[in-house]
Amino acid sequence: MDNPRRILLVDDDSGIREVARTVLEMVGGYDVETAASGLEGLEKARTSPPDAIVLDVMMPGLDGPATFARLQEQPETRDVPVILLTAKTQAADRSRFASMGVAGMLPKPFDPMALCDQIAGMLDWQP
Amino acid sequence: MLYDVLISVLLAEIGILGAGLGFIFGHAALRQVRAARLRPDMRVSMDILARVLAGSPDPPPLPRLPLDKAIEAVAAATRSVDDAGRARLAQLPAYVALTERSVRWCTSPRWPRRLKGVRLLVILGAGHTTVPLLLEDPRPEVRSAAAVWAVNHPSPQVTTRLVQMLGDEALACRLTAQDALIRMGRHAVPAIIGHLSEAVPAALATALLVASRVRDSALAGPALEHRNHSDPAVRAAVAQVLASGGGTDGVEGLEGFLADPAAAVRTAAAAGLGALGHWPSSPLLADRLGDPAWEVRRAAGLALDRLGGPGQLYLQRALHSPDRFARDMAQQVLDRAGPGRGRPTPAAFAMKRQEE
Amino acid sequence: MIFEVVPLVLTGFAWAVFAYFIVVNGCQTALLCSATAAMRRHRQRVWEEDRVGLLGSAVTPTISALAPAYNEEANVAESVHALLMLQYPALEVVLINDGSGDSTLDVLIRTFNLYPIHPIFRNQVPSQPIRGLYRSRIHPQLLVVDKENGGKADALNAGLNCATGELVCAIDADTLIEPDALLRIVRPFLTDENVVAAGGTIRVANGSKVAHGRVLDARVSPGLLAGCQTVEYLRSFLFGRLGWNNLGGNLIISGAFGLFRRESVLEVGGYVHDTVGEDMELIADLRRQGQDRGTPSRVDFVPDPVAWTEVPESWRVLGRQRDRWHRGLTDVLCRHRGVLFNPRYRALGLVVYPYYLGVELLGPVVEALGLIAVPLGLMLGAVDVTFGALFLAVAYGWGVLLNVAVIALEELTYRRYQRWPDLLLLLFWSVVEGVGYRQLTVIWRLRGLWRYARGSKDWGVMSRKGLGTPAQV
Repeated sequence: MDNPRRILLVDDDSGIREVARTVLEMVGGYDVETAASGLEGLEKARTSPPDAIVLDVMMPGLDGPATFARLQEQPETRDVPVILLTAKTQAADRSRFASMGVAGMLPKPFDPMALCDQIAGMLDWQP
Repeated sequence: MLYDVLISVLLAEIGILGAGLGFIFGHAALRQVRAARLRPDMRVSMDILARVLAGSPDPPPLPRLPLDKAIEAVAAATRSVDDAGRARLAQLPAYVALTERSVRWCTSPRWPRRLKGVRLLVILGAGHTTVPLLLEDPRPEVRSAAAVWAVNHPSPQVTTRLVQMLGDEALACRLTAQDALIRMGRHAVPAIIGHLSEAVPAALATALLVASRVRDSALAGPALEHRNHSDPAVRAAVAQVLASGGGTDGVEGLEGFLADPAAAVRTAAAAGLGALGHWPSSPLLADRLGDPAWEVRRAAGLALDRLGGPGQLYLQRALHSPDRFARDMAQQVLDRAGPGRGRPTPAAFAMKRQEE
Repeated sequence: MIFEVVPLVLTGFAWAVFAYFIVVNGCQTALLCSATAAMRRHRQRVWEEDRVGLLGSAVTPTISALAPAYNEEANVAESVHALLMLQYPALEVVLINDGSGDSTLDVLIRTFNLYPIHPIFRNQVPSQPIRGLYRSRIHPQLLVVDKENGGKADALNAGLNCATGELVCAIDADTLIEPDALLRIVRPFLTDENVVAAGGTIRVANGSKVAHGRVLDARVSPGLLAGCQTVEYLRSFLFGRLGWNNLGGNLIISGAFGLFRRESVLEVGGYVHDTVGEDMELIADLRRQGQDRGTPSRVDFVPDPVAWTEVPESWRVLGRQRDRWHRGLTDVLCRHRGVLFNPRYRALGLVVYPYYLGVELLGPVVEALGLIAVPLGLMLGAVDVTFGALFLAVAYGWGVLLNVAVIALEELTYRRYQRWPDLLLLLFWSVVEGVGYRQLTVIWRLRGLWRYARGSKDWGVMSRKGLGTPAQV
């Protein structure tokens, strides 16, 4: 297999970060980088752009949609596909997120295996 | 002289033998005759009772039966009857007579009679004024039977008394009270909350265990008040309540308990996280695979097993752990469901691998 | 000169035997009274009790049923099915294959769709090596332990290690358990926390209609040995064991069926290897340890019938069985002789142990001496003929009376034998048991005592008729 795909995972919950990283690494064979906040995520994405970004919507400080907006502004990260982890109560916002241009959405609580599936499907779609 | 003694003893033996044989044959014969004589009446009674239960308007009067047979007929009829059926039965004069007799028995100075009264009232589904008083009876058998009655007749007075009975001196009463409260379910919640909110509740561990079986989210808060109790049994019970109620507070509390000094508490916490399906706790559980106590290792392993994909991955990883105990436990857990459980692969990858 | 002394000695001897018989029958009568009182109490306590409610209860202790099996390919599947159908909310069935030479394990694997699991368990008591553990795909509560041969006690120890229940019961392959047996026999544990073991009544299945591991129709066997044993078991359980409940507790449960606290059994070191009578050994150990340490030590007996067993119908096999039992009893009493008359053990040391020593253990010796001395005395003219005959009639007659009393108790309470022919047959066997059968057991028990004294400790093999076939009625 060629160079493993790189994923950036941004979530403020350490447990989720830890486990999702393990799953993505062991099952998907991806190289996973994590960030605990929107700002940190932006920084890491700018310095070494990943192949895909997983972004939690509910975060203190810079939340998911705000981070996504900034990512769109940066030329390095404009074309990186983003999956949003939405909270259950945000059903109404899903259409808003879709119109913003996110590549995928996954409601919480989510199954990390399903995340793996979605990323795989997304990346294979790329030309 | 000895002779005479022996002879009289021998004669006495023969006499007793004769009496014994007479008694046995007589009793058996009488029993058979009586059963034959009462059989038609019993059939008629069962038939009438069935018709009453089905709601027929004007049932004929029940034939007169001796007490034990009457009880037998009523017990058989009320075995699985709902409140409406019982209300219909309660209008029969024979039923009312039996109820009155049971209530009278409940006030007897002899405890076997009081016990009979309570048991009969359980069958009849009556006795709302008498039986709650018997929850304080001096005999444990009677108290315990009253607790069984209380299951179908919950009331604030009764549930409070049952919660107190969790600390009863007699084992039978404590067990019956536990069982009764669990069966009552949500009816028991106010009384349990009241008990847990006391300054020094009696039988705290037991009350918490009952709370964990009753499974109501309102119980998590009062339970958390006792999370720092000195008795590890109490803390373990708090963990079980958190596991049954769920919610983010519960998860936080359980993860905190994973670091408790007592093994029993860590075990309960691990099992609880597995039951809640909270996979983000997998790394913490994987750490517990190397716990010094076997029960904790086992609970952590089983919990990871329950957590589906992520848990499985951590178990697979533990197969290569430097800690021998963690390796052993991971192997043991992975073997539990038998061969044929390979590494979990999401659907997309399975298809991709096929193409390659 | 000798000819003057000998008759005197014999007369003195005859008197001693006479006194002994009075003591023994007196004890038995006391037990009968105690048993009747206990039975009455028990009936009062369980009157119209909702046992079915217990089935759905969340607080009943978990039970593991340990069933050792050795060369049982013919009936093991049926036995396991019968065990799985026992009515109890939280039951685990542990079948231990004691290194069978035949295809017992294969039958199990095929019938219950077993798969192997990693053989790791807590090794708390020693046993022969365990070759493998299996679970069933269709019955999650079944666990099969495959181990090297080591005897019944060893197999039970292996089962103890692998079991997870709070209480354990050891199942004999020859025993048929009633479906609601566990619900009945768990009662003492629900009412008294000082109880460490509980037993129930075992009845004789010979002559009854048996199918699929259950007794469908209880009948009294028309065979001499089986019939006498029916009465013997009734007597020894219904008033022997029950009588002891209130007088200091039992020393024997029965290898066939008993419920024990698993922790306590593990603490005494499980089932001991070098003893022939495993059941007696375990109870004695449990009681002694419990009283020494202040942990549960009471052994309670439930009069309800809980199990049926197939008894030997051939003289030789029966003789070997009684021989073995007596050797076991002797062994236990010898090992625990520190209990005798020791006030620290209260009723166990002051009443129960002396009884077992004086009556059960030495009884055959005295009886045998009596049976020799009396005719000898008759021949030498030291004992009067009529006196001797009278004495024997009184002594054995009392035994027959006790038997009849037991039948009366049975008629008043459980009435398992419903038909008139059965009742008559039972009474007939009561007489034969008291005058004839019991004297025969003296010979076998003496033989056991003799062999123990000479150091013999093997575990005999009983040939089986196979309980799957319905008996001729």
